[in-house]
Amino acid sequence: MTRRLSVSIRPDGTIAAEASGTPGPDCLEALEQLKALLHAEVEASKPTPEFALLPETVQDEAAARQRLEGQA
Amino acid sequence: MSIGALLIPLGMALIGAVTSAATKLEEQGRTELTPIRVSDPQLVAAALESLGATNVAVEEHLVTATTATGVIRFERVGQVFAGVLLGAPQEASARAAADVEAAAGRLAQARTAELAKAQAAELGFTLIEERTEQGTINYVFEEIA
Repeated sequence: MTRRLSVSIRPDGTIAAEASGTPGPDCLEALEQLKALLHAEVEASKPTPEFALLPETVQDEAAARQRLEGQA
Repeated sequence: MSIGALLIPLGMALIGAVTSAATKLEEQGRTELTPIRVSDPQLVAAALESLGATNVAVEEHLVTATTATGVIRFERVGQVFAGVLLGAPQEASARAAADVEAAAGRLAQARTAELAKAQAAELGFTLIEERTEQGTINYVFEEIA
């Protein structure tokens, strides 16, 4: 599946973005790509509904990585 | 799977920084100052200039300028800048600060749009779609196979 980044740059400077096409929790790594692409900081991030369809272990790992990223 | 995110460009601040600046100003009884979502003094200055202000002076923690309605002064409060239109009623002062914040947003938008296009190839992506709707610039990038 092709990795895709959709970006909406609003007139107030804020940016809504979505990264898709990455396998499992690797999607969280896409946040790093978005930060590099946009020279921006992440204010909030959330897996989209498809995330809920993943096995619990994958969700747990992704959540843990997200927490670690938040602490960094 | 996919992930959605809200991002703030460099030079602008996370909403939490504005909230803490507002709390700090309230505690200090300095409610004449209106905090804005801008952390970079150069961006404050550029926003003022884009609005036609003159005599724009920039220091690390202070930006001043002359506008059509008077002298405006921004000072750093925590991570953000907070502004006051000297001698003006609170409402007019808050409106002037909000105008500068909006101008800064427009400048940040233009800068981010340029950067994204320039950076895409370096990160291995190509722009496959570009459109502007109600002032929002939308791009779709796809990874180069």
